[in-house]
Amino acid sequence: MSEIILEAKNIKKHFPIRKGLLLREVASVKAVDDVSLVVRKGETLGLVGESGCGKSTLGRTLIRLYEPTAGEITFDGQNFLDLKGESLRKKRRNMQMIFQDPYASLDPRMTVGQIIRQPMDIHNVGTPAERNQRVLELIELVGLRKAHVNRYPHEFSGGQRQRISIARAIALNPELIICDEPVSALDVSIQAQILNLLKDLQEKLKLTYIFISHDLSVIEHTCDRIAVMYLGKIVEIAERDELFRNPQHPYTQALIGAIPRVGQGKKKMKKSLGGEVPSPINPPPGCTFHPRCPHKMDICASQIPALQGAGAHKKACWLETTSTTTDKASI
Amino acid sequence: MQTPVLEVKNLETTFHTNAGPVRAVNNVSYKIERGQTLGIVGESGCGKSVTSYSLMRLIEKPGKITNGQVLLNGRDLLKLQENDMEEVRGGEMAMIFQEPMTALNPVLTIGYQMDEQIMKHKKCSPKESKERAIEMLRLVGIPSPEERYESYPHQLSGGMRQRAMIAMALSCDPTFLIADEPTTALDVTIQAQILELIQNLQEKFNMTVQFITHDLGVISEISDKVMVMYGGQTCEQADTQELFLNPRHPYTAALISSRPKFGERVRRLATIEGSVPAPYELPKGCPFVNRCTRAKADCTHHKPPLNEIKPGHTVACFNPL
Repeated sequence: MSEIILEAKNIKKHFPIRKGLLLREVASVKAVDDVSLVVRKGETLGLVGESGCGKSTLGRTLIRLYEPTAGEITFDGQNFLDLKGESLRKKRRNMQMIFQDPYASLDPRMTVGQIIRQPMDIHNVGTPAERNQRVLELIELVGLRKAHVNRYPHEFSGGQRQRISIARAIALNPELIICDEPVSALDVSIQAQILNLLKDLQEKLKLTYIFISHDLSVIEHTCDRIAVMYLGKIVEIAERDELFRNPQHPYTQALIGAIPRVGQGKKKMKKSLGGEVPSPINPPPGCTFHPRCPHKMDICASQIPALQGAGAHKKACWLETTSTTTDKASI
Repeated sequence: MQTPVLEVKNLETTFHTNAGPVRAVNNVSYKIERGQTLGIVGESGCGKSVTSYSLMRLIEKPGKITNGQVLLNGRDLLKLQENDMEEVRGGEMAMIFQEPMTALNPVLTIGYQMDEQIMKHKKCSPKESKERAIEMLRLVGIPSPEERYESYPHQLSGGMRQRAMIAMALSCDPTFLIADEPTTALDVTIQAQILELIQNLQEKFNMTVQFITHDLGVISEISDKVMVMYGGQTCEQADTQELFLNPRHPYTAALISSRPKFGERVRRLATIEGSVPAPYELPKGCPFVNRCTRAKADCTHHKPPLNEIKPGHTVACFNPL
C-alpha cells in the first residue's frame, strides 16, 4: 500500500450562528463533525453525498481554506495545523483546488496567461521568461491552444474555462488537488472531456485527487476509494468496487438505489427513501440518519455509531452485516 | 387509433438578435398519445426549453413563433386569442419549472398562488378553492397541508417547493403536463421521490406528459418515447428502449457513450470533440456536422431530413449508424 500523503483525525468544522446586540454565539452549524480519513499518494478519494452533507466544507478544511474547529491534519508527515506565515505558504504550493463554477472562479479582468501565471508569481518560481514559457506548456497540456494566452475568460465556453482552472491548479506541480464538483456545471458531452483530462494528468504528473461530487456515476468512474457523507459525518468508506457491490450503510444503499440508470427502459419507480436531510444546526441524536432509516432500531436514536469495520471497508451503523448475501447473489 | 393529445407540426421559433435571426426551434414535429410520456433530451441551448415555452406561448420579445401548429386535443393553440390561451394555460395544459424558488412568487403564500389559479379556472368560491388547494397539497405528500397553505415559498425546502409546484400545476385537472427539468435542482434521493410522485399522479389522472431533461438516466426511466434535440432540431425519435439500445444518430450514440455508466468500467470515456455551437453560428447543413465522426460532404451543405428507418424510429442523418 502506498504512502500516506494526508491524514486527518477527528476534524470538526462548526460555523457559529450569532444573534443579538452582542452577537453572542447562540448555536452552530456542524458542517463537518468528527471526520477522520487518510489519503494515499496517487489515489483518487471520492467524497460523495447530498447538498449540505459537508463534503465541500471538508475539502476546504483539509487544505485550511477554513480553519478547523478541532482535530489534527498531517500533510507529508508534518503537522499542517501548526504551520504559519511563510512555512504555511510554502506548504500550500503542494495543494491546489479546482472549483465547481468556472464562471465564478476565474477573474474576468485577467487574461488566461495572467491567470495561469499568478500562482508562479505568488510563489516566485523561476524567472519571468521561464514563467511565460511554463504558461504556454500548461496551456497545451490541458488541451487549449497557445493563441489563447492573451484572451479573457468570457471568450471561452464552460469546458474550456474548466481547462484554464485545471492549468492554474497544476502550475506549481502540486501533489494534492481538491476537485470540488469539477464537472457538475458542464454539459454531458463536455463532462467526459474534463474527466478524461483529469485522469490523463493524474497519470502524467502522479497527482493525488480528493474528488467531491454528488453524482455517483461520476464518482464511480473516477475514484479508487469512496467516502459517503451524511450530515457532516462519514457514514461509510470503502474501495470503489467493494462499496458498489456491497454497500453496508442503509444510506449508501438508498443513494445507489436512487441513481437513474440508462437503458433499462421505463420502470415503475420503487419506493424511495422518505423524508429529507435534517438541519445540521440541530441534528437528530444518536445516528443522524435514523429518522429516515428503514432499518432503525432503538439504539440508533440514542447512541452515535462509530465508523468501524475490518480492513478497508468501514461503516458507521449499528446494523449487523446481514444484508450482504442477497446483494451478492444479484450481481 | 385515437387522435394524439398533443401534435406539434413544423414548429419554428425565432429570436431576433443583434447577430441576426436565431432559429432556436427549427422545424420540430412530434406527437404524444394519451397517458404517454415523451422525454425530450439535449444539452444546453438545444432548444428543448424553448420548445416547451412555445407550446405554452410564453415566448417573449425578441422571440416569436414564426411557423407551425400546436394541436392540443385537436385545437391549434397558435391560432387562439390571448384570453382564450389564458384559459388553456394552467387549465388544460400545465407546466412545472426547474427552479421552484424562481417560479413561485416569494411575497405571496402558497395558498394565495394556488387560489388565484383555481378560482380563475374552476370559477369557484374562495372557500371551495381553499379546500381544493389543501386537498392537492395533501395529494402530493406535503405534511400538514393546512399550515403549508399559509406558508411562503422560502419556508419550504427544495423538495417540498417542487411538490407545491406540482400541486399547483395539477390543481385544475390538466390533460397535458409539461415538466421542464423538474428534478435538476434536487438531490438524488429527493429526485427519486419527485419522479415517483409524477408517475403516480400521471397514472391516477391519465395525464399526458412532456418531460424535459439533460439527464439520460432520468429520461430513460420515466419516458415511453424519447426525442433527442441538437441545435434547435430533432436528431432522433424512438421508443425509449429502442433509442438507448440501438441509437442510430451519431450524436445520440456519442451522448450515451460519453456518460459514465453505472456498473460499467471503462478507463476513458468516449468524448464528443469540440463544444455545442452557439445558436447564431450553427452550420448551414446538419447542426452536428463539425463534431461528427461520420460526416460526409453532403452533411455540410444540406440539412438531413427526418427519415423513418424503422416503424416508430426516425433519424435525421445522411449517414446513420
